[in-house]
Amino acid sequence: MKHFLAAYLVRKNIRRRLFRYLILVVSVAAAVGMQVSAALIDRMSRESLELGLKRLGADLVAVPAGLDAELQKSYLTGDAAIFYMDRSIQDRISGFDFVAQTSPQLFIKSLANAGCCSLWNIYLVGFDPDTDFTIKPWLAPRFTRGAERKIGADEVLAGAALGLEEGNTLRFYGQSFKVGGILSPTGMGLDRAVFIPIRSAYRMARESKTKAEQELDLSPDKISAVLIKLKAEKDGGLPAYRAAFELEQRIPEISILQPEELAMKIQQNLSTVLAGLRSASYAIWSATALLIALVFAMATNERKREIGLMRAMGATRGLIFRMIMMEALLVGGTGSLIGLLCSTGLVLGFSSLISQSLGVPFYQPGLGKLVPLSLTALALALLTGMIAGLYPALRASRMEPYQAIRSGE
Amino acid sequence: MIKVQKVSKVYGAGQNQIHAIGDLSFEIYKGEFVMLFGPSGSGKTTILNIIAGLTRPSRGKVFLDQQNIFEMSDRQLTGFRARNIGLVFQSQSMLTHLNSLDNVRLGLRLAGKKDDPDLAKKALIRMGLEDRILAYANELSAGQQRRVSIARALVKRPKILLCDEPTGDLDPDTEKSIMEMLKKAHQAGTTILMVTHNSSLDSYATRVLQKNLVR
Amino acid sequence: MAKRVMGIIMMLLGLALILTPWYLFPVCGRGRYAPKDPGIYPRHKCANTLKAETVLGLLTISVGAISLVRPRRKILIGSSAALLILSGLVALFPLQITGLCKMATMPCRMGTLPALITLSILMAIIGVAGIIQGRGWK
Repeated sequence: MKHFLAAYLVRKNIRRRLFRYLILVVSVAAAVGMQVSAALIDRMSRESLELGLKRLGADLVAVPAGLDAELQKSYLTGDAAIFYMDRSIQDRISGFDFVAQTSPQLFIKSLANAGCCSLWNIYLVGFDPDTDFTIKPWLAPRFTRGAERKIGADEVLAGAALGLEEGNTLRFYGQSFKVGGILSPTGMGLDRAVFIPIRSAYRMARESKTKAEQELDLSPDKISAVLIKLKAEKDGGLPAYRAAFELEQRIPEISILQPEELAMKIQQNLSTVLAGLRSASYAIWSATALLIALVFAMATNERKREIGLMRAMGATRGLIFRMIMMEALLVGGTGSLIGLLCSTGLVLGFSSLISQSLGVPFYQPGLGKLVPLSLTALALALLTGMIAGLYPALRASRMEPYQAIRSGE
Repeated sequence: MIKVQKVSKVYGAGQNQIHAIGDLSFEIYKGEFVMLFGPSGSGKTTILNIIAGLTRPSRGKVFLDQQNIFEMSDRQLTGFRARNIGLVFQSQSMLTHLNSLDNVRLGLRLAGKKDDPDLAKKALIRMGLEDRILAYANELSAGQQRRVSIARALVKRPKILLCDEPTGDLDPDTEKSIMEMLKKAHQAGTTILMVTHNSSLDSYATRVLQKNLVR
Repeated sequence: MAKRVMGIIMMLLGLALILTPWYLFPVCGRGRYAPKDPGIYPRHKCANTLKAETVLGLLTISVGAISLVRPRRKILIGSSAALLILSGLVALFPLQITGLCKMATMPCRMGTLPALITLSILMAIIGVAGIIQGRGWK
């Protein structure tokens, strides 16, 4: 009965002072939203990083000297990095006894006719199906049979972010290719690439003189990068940083990209962004806390008289306490729920745009993984609301009614 | 029915002490309409609030129905006040987020009585507010607000009605109509204690107390 | 004034609906994505969505203008209901009717689509709020 009475008073109060409550709810929502977006972006890029590094599969990547930063950028953003070096470098790298396995890659930029409507720049990556150890293992689960299957000369594998399906036809430089499989998503730049058997790429270049509108100038003795797998240290291998140093010393034409560097680069980009977002959200939080404190203090002062009057009419301390508490919980609860829904929706909806403009990879975790994050945020916001409401509630309910009534005059 | 025994009230401490009331004693019997006269600032409001249990006296005792109200717990006192005492304040005392009807209904509910909109409506109509039933405080004149407060205090049928300057700063016509309503309530059996500085109202009272309350 | 707020909000939403695919989150080949060499670019599929959303934006502005000029109960409820229908169309055009370019990384998918969905949700909320407000009027 008393609970109904408190709820009734809260309802009437909110209805009569709707504007004040809306401002409070909106500021709580903004604060919670900022926090949740920061946490989401953090979470998504970390997941993407882990997956992407696993997916890269190589311990080291060799590129022409001085161009490792280009490749780094391309892994992060999916923008094509176009450079070439001599094919013989692969053999020279394979000659080192700490190297277990090597496989070449070839980077090509192309306009693609995706068969329907749209033309877009596509990042083509040539790979050698015979020696490859980094791409085929990542065919999306329902194509796993593809891992054992030979990839045909007119087949390509497509990154997950391209929106293609198995069996789609793509045209590059006047040649048609069939999408033979889709790679599982990582959120990294490679999701936007199309992987093409390296021999088909050379053939495409050779025939582009006659078949395509644009010629592709590419000699078959050129490659862009060499993916390197090192021997385990117990089998006589070297730690990655030592191997990288050794290779760069002995083959001056190359620079070595270490996936750890990539991870560091991502962390760097991420921490700048998150620092900005966090400081903005802290600023909003403190402004909100101040606002809530102010509004509640004002409201309590203004309402001291009313509370005193209600006490004079026979309202118990418990009733007043419950009333103010309910209000604080309601504001905190609706505010954080709105903030949570809006920020999750916006971050997920705009994720590829955010990812591209921040230079940070994103991997959308399943909704299931977002639930604990959301619940934590919600619980924290409710707790804050409760604590923020507690002090004014206690003070208002402790006052002598006569003092309360007079203080409002 | 009400027994005030050697009550004094001191505000502040040390040099800044203000003696609002000093050693005041009086008694009010069932069915009386007592008026307590005194100049402004003579502690009239304070004694009314002490009797209502809204503030504690510095010394002395107050008995309502033979019970010393300041020996009760806050909970007991609140319940006792809710059931037995109707209060009409000097200042604007409507709750601004509730309309007239809801103010009166809250009076019923807080007294632990059944929420009865018809009863509340009748109480407002008796106060001549039949066309202001759904109005909020900012849509009512001071006199109308005062009448809502009286309706709210009377609707729960308190044993005693405490009125603090119920006609303060109102025009003579409104003053007269409010006094007539209090008279009707008295005739219906309510014991009334009213404090005022306006001695021309003494014709409504069955007894007049005139005391300089400050020692 | 308070009675006309809904009309103003509706008109602003309509304006946002037009600005979004043209300038704020432009579709492929528009705004900041305009090709430097327009010769070799054929039409994008999302160009149809651009047209559709422009028309929907104009309709939304008109609906808002009516409730701004004549803030009556029936008119507000009617234009709010119209806004609800429009909000559905705003989302349906890019998703089903006219569609967008295929690749997830193209501007119309990265920017325009989520922006339009957001607008559609806002329009739906305002539509429901308008109906509730209208029912409260005499």
